[in-house]
Amino acid sequence: MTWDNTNLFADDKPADLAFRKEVREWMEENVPLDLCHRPDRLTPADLKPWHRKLYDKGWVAPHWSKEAGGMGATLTQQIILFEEMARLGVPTPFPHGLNFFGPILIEAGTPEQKAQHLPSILTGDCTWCQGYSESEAGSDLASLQATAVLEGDHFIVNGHKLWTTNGHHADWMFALVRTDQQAQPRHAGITMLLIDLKSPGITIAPIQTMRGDAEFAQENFDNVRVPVKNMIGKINEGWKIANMVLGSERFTTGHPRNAAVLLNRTRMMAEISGAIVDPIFRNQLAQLEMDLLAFSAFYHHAAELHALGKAPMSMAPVIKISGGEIGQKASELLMHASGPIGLLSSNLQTPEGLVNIPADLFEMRRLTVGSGAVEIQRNVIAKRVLELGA
Amino acid sequence: MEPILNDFQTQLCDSAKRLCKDFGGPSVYRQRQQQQGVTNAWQQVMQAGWTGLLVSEEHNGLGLGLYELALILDEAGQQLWHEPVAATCAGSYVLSKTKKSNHLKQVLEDGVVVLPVCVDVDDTYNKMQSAPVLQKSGDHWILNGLVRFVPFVNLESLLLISAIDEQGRRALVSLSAKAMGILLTRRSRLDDSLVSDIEFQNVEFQTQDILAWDDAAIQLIDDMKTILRVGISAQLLGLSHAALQMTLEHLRIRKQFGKPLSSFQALQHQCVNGYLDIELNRSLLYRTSMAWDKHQSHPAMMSALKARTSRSALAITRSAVQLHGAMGYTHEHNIGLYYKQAVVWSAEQGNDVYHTQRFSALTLNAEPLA
Repeated sequence: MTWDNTNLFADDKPADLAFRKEVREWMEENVPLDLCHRPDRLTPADLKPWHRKLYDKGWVAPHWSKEAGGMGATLTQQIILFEEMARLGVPTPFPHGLNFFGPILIEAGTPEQKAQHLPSILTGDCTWCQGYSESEAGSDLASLQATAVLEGDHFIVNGHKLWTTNGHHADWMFALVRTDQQAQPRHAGITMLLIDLKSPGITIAPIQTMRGDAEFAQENFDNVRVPVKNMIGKINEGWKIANMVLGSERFTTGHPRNAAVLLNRTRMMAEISGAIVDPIFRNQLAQLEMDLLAFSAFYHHAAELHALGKAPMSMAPVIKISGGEIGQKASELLMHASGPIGLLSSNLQTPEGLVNIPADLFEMRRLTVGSGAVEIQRNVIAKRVLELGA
Repeated sequence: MEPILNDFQTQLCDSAKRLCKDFGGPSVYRQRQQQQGVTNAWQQVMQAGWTGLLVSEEHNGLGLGLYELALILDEAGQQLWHEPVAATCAGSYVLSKTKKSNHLKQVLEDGVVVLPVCVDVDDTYNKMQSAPVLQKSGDHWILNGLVRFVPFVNLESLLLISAIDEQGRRALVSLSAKAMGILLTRRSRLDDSLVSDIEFQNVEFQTQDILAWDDAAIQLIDDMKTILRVGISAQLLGLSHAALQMTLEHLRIRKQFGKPLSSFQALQHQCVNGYLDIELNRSLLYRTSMAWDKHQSHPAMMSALKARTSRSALAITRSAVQLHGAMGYTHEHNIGLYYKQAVVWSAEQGNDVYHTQRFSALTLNAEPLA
């Protein structure tokens, strides 16, 4: 029996088999080949035609309700869509509008806000970024200091946001800002605002990552006027709103497929370099494959529980930590297995297309830092699941 | 995460939890040295029908699967319950497949313990044996060989022996441990459980005692190994869970530097790492056993399960002893029992090194080990 680590414990119910078949056939005919298996970083502009094609098919927002313009898909169907795209190596659309902000807007937005923003998120015409982190507010997000002061029917925003993925490509930002300096606890003084990034007073500077390209940016706000109608929910309720939508919206970003791709690449490079005959390397590869197997079991178990409405709160941090750490170790083993050729900064032509080993290595570093460092996720589990604390 | 259960499975888990709690636990562990013959617990196991858990209803078993066995043995592991449930389930499964109804009746109704005896498999670092060899001698057969360190054997046991003939053909032979020519040498292990060396000296038996030959025998032996591996992995998972829970409780109560140990992040993260291992292993146990029940499993999955549960159980119990401080090092404190049991179970049915290698061989699509 051959071992297929991209399909571990996936067990479609009969009703889902037909959907998978439909998705697979459509994807095979419609994916843009020039976007598949690309080693370089793609921008929202690169993805726009593909985003639009998925929108026209009705599959761009599987997790949104039909009333909101989505597909109203089950979690299993969402996972199937992700898996079939991953199988062909085509990227999924950027998640900031569709996965992070969209569900918040649907849940907490006014009818006017929804009418203004939902359609352009769906079509991909508008690119969103998430304005949460600042230089002094990383893991300790509640200490954020960008301020918004109410003056008539506008907020005046001052301060900065940092490490904003796609900040330099985005049209709009959903941001957390401080509206009460005295509030205790500190997260009680935070409000969510939607900021048009073309407003006067905003300067945006892309930041180079260790990978050598600009993935994120810094935005400075100098007396930026934001209409009150761009506030989501009520004043000082931003923290609650930001935490309202978690878990399933981030399900596909933690899919074990991401690490499987790296492990298969590791295996391929080990064949090329000769590492494959080294018993110590084989042992290291086996350890990671076993970790991936266990993680896949957890992932599908979680998806099934989620469908039954029984997913525990521990699910999201476990997926975040395990998926991130396995992917990261896989990228390290990939570099190790590649030998000297892995050190080259240029793309390599391989039997499976172009690869860039340093890009994989560096890209994986962000998995354990972004959207809540794994140390913070461990704190969350310690306090809320294991009931350890002062 | 919780298992996904139907009503029947929920009842089964509840009764397993009760039974293992009533008849297991650290106090029972501490009486192991005094135990002789059939224990009270084993009577309960029989009455609950667990000895025929994998036997079809048509053969008077419960007709359940490896998933249900795993659920029960998780509870058993939590209570450090050391009974030959997995071994007997493996044995009764084979007896039902080979239609040995007399033997099966003894197991299901009389409480006979049936034990797989396989020298050639999973016996990590145990080369001081000689695989049983069978020879034709007139109208009967004779068996010679030495299998070492087999747990749970007593004179009433029925042995299912993996043997080869002089041409190297595989056979599966059933013999009573009382048969003439079988010598048992018992020893105590570090967890106070007993193991036996079984020496076969010209043991005579009949053709009808050979349950299967060749591929059929290999398949049955393989099934027994799978059941044993998954079973002991479930026990290791339960043990790890219990040791972690006990440690969490200790950290919440014990104070140093004027605050509970549970407030120290370094200790919290040690516990979280144990928790992460347990959570992934639990899902792996459920999915692997369900896959076997649906004939969708890959043999490498069992090795991943045994390797991971063995490694985690050792890491978690080691850390548990450490976090209990000097108390953890005493004979009196129960946390040490979990560590000892983890050392023993992680070594049985192949340790993590063996299973990592086996997994590697199976998934790189090369020649597997043993």
